[in-house]
Amino acid sequence: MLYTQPTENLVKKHVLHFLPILLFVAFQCICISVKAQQRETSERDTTRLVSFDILAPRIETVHHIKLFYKSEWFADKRFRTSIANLPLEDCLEIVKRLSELSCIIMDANSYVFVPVEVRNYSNRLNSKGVLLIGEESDAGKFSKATITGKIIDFKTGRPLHGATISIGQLAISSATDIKGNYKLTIPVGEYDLSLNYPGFGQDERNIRVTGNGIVDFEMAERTIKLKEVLVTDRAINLNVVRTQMSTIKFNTKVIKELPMFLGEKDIIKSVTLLPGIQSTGEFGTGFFVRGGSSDQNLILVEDVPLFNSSHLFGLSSAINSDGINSVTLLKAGIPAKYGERASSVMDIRLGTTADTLSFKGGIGLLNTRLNLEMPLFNKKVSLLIGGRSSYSNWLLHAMPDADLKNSSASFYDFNSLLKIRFDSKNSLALFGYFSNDKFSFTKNAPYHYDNMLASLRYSHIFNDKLYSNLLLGISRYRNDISESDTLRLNEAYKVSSSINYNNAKLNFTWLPNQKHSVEFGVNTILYKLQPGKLSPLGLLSTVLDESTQQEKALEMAAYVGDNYTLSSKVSVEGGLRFTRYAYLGPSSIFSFAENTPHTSAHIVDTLMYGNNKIIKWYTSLEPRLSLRYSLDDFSSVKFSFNRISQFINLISNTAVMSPTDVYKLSSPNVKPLVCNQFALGYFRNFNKNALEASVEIYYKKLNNIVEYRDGAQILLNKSLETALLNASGYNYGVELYLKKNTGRLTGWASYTYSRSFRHTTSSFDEDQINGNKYYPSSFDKPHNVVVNATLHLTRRWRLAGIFNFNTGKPVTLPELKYDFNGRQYVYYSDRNKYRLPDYHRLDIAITFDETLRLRQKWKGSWTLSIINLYGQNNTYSVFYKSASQLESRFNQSFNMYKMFIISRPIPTLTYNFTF
Amino acid sequence: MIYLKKICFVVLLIITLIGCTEVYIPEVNNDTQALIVEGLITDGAGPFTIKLSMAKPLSFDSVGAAESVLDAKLVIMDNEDRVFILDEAGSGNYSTPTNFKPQIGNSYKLHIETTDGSIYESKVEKLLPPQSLDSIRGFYTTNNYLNANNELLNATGADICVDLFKSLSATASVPSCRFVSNVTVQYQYRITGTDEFNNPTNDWFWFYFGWDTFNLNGTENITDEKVASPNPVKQNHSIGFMPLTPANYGFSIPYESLIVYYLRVNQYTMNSDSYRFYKDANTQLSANGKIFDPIASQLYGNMKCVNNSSKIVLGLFEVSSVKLHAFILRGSSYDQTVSVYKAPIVDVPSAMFNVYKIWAGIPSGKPQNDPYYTPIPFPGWWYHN
Repeated sequence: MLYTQPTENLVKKHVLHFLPILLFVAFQCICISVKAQQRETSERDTTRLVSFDILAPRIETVHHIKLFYKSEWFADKRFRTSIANLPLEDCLEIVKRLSELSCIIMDANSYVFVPVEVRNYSNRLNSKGVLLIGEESDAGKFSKATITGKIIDFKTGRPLHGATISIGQLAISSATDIKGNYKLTIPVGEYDLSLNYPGFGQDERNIRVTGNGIVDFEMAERTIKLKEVLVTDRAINLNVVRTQMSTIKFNTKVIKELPMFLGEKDIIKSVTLLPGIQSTGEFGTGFFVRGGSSDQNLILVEDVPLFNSSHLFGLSSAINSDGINSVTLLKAGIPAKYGERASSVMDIRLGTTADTLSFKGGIGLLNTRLNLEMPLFNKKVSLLIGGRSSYSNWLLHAMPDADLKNSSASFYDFNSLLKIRFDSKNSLALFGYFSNDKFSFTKNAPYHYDNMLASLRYSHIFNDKLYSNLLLGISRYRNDISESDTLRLNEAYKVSSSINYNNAKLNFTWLPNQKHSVEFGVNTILYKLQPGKLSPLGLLSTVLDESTQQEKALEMAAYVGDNYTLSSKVSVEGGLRFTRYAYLGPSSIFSFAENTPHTSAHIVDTLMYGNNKIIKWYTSLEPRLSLRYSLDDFSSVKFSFNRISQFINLISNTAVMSPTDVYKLSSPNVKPLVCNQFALGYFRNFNKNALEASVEIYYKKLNNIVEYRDGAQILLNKSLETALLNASGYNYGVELYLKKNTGRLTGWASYTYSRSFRHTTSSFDEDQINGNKYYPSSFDKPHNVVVNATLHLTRRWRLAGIFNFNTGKPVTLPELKYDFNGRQYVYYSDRNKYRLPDYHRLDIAITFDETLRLRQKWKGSWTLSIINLYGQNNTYSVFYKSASQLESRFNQSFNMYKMFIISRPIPTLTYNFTF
Repeated sequence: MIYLKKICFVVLLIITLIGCTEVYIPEVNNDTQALIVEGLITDGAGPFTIKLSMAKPLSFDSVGAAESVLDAKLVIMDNEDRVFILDEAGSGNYSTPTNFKPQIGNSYKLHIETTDGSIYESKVEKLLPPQSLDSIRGFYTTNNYLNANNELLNATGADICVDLFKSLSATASVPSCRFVSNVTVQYQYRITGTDEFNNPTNDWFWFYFGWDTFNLNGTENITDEKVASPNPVKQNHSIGFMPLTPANYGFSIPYESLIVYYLRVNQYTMNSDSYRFYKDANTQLSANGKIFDPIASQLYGNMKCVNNSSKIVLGLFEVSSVKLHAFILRGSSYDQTVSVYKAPIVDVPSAMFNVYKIWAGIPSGKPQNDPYYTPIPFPGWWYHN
């Protein structure tokens, strides 16, 4: 029998090997001949057995790599020459297996074969791969043993000065001297030993110590994949040992492995897969954290807030993920250096990792993107430039909706980051971002919005204990709607609104000793808002200029926080943030009659204030506390409390954030939102940190929430404050999280139970919602289950899937219908009395990753993803409407409808590349 | 050859990213009850009818079978302390007495007492002076729309626009107007005659007339609050789109020898309460489930239960002045123009299109004026009154 493998394995193997060919065949026939030629070559050489000296040049030629080895290590080994034609990963795996050697990747095109057992003067590996130190016969004779030796650079043989050798179980470590020598005295036993050296990564060895021994360790410099290894800058059990809880960090590896939405990696949609964070649905901007609205999230890009984080109504994030180096989301225990928003902080950092000029990009369903990374002047300067541009109109025109058929949408964005390192103590970073969105439901009524962010950060290192950062930043968000009917050009108009945010921040980090890490600083923000401005459009327009009152305010904060490690078991991060907020003129402030509801009918006076006149002060003292108590090396309990005041609110009465929504500053009649949050968590890692598990519970109390009256008019409302209501509320929940970091199968599963309630407290009927009874907020989705798994089939093939389940969101539904003037109307229930049907969806993606060969400049990866695999009709919204506009005039037909955004499986194929 | 992989391209397998809708019948509370008040008094000829009914649960198939509120006591009071008791005319309709003639500048209040003892009262509503449109014109245009099967269709017709408030002074406040525009489409059928043996013959024909009346607006047509110039003049306020093809009204006319489009426009001048009500009504009517639609908007009128705050009362007691207008419209596809002719105001007999596709009467003679050649066309139903 020629084939002895099980059929399914053969199928799998062949499918995996030739799937890229199949894809190319489908799109470009010429690839058939490419593969055909390769196959012919393979078949000719199948039966030849050769020495490694013959095989190695062939492998080097085929894969454009260089192999390093000693011939004697392969002296009695023979290999089939066909191995060379296999994918590099498979090829090397076979060589390693047959030669019983290890292979170290020096860089993308240098591979070194070494004996698995490095120089070990007194010991050897047992059958389980555990390094034995001391004689077996000495077992039980000694209680302690001393290990000495050197740690050296495998490539050059030079001693590594300052390398650390540590044993986690014993909380003991030692650093090598200038000659690379180390010495450890430890109880006899079996341990996990860690070797660390900057730039060389971390090596793990299992050792069994029965007596004294001399062991040299070699470490190899790893210059490849640093930006894509799972963990490069955090300890493997950081989730357990760090003081901070409710923290989520995405590195590029995690982002990369998420299934794409319409061919696009999406950072906002990615975070909504984590416990306690929910999306608005398939459409819609932003996300909800632990029952807070989307404007309660501070999204910082290089320390500057982003006010609208989406393109195309939320179909795509505003930030190009190619340039993102890391994303950190804080849900609770927010350190004192952060303020401004009540629910969460998302800190997005851009970064360059390339050693040489490199390009990265992708061609997706909605847009094309390109990212350039360029080190300059001997790496003292690095430049990152990225941009995207859309071509999404065809998608809208394909939709069976009259509005969308006649609509158009487009966007582009551009980001750049320039880092200059003057010397070892001074550096400067310049960041810029601009995005622009245009869309229209009809040709005569286009919407437009843009974000502009810029920052300058100067970093100075005073000494090895004191660092500083000075940041100057601006963020501007503008939107406008215009309408120009050709029959009524005299009434053509444009309504615009904008927000300008300017901040200066000085932050110091002080490390007085190994137990304290202190951060302190000041932060000043100047807000300038134009909630609405009506202006004529075109020369024929006779519309008069009209605008709502501009708003201006100054927010100043001083803060200090200390992360104090009391012992290996206990650490605490305490902090205090003191905020002063001044609402400034020019402004006119409504005065309402005493003991009356705040409606326009009860305005008794309007007080006028001049420019920069302080109209109202608000003061906030915000304590922050995080506690960590380690039960052992693999588990800990954490507690946190934070209070945050928020002085800016997004005023929206639409189902999702719309371009017509406006921001509103806290004023004498609109008090600042105050959030107090308590959280408690248990964190536990299993199987040598391969599995992370956590349980967190939280309770949030919110005061001065801005709610709106039924049918409130937001845009161009000169008395907007009379359309708003003051409410309070509370959120609570429990989040269960299990994450697998290593192995062929990685990913996480989470379950969240969360509730979110609001109520008004006014004694006046007009200022009440649901008679002051508590009602679920729009973010109240009690049950949320997410399973995100990635199966690494081979080094280059991976299969990923995401399953998401949510309880339906609360809605207000009609309970009655009636006729009036020949038209049908409805009477709605109490606010949010009912719920939409539950939501669930499965997305999958299979990816063929790029090669790691350095000489191959152009590297591409393919991703085939299917959104909503089983075609679930998830209700996005429900509404009551008449039949089509024209028909409804003649034959009224009203009904409740539910709308789906994605009602069937959507396959997409995306090609990403670097060069 | 392997480097051919480097060629950058993408093939989009997606064909069907589809957002769609379907009818949804939620399970909602059926215990809620609400009184509906539908009343309009004007400075025009009375009597006026105020209709009382109960709202139906959402799950009911039709609102046509709304439960009437019987045996209620209705009274209208004015600011001169006059009291007018309304008579029950059956089916929940209550009529004003013959001596009730609303006066411009006066204020009125409706008082209702139902058999369960609940007392409802309206706000005091003022009758404002009537405004009249200054001019009217039609623009020949084509509108797109989706039918019930989500097929994109188009209709050619007239966008009918009016100019308003030219007579007001520059400093005058801008009145709020509501337009109710109904088009009556009259058509003529030609029926083949029969010979003496009752066989069809082309020697002569029978001509029959049929018609139906349609409201032009899907939502309430009200003037907006935008100020377009230093004075209150409004130009080209659209009062509706009127298709000029019978098929767009659901007619299938085999022989179109005569089609008349008779447009009747009632122009109401509203006070602030009525204007607010209709503006809110439009918010509800125009909600199409688009992504930026406002969240559900409750529609409250100017009525309130004064002795039980838990009672829900909806609808409106509207006090508005009125001006009536009528026009004949004719469109020309050749030069893409629309002609608008002033016409007499007549009460068009109701016609149930589905039942009376062919009006049973036979014209007693040739129309006195041919609408195609005379500036004042001739409504065909005049023969049949």
